[in-house]
Amino acid sequence: MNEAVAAQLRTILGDVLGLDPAVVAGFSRETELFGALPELDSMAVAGLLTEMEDRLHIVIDDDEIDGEMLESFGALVDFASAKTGA
Amino acid sequence: MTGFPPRFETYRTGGGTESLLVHGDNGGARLLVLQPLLEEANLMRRTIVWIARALAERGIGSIIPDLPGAGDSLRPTALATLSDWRQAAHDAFVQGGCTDVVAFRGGTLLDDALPARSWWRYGTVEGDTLVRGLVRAARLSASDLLAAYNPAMLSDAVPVPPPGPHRTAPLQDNGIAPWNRAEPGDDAGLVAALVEDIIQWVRTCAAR
Repeated sequence: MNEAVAAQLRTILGDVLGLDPAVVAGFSRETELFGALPELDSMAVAGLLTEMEDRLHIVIDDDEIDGEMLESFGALVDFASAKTGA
Repeated sequence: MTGFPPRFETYRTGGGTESLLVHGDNGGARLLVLQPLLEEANLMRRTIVWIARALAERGIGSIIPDLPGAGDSLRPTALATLSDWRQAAHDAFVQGGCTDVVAFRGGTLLDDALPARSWWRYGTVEGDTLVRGLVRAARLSASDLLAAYNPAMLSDAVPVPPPGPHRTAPLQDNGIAPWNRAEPGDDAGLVAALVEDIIQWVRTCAAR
């Protein structure tokens, strides 16, 4: 897992979802996100993607958005890492 | 809280009646508060009502109208159009005896033709951006968000500079935009900053 991207995503998830820093610090590859975190509903996903684009300087196509990329923290880190080329 | 508790009243628009939330009395400045559009209205509602309450405590009254098809409106959401909403903003402004406008996010797409003394805006956004957020949410939503709304009407909408004194308040630089947050409701720092900004702006315009 790309730790630099993971660290940025922890901050973004904490800001968007209003999660305690201690909670996001505990996120591992296997931590389930969409469907498991009550704060992460479909509107929150829209906010999350906007913040990811702004802070990671990436562009996410609407076609790329599906349940799989948000299934787990590891999947989201992999997606963002591929986008940033990191 | 002292003085005037918030109350619901109604205004007439498009051949029907919609509700509006009134804070403060009808002396001095009275603001028309235009909420964000679509799902962002739900996200921001609590923050905006809190702002209205704080303004009333400082002597500035306001009305927050429900647009046709939005909020508590009985009209079908999918049938609402941008021109309905712009007309509703105008009807609420006139019938509510408003002096100035405060508009959040998509509300800034509705405010430029109002007969106002001044315009205050926050989170100005193009309609296309709002539609994009809805399309993305719809990809992961069990309900059919795109059918529930009529987002196509917003695609070409852009905020138009108002014909009088206007200010676009800056976003807080130490955090995240409230409309990108899952639970923006109780951010006391944000509310206090926006209330001060609005008060200073309205008083400056009233003194001109």
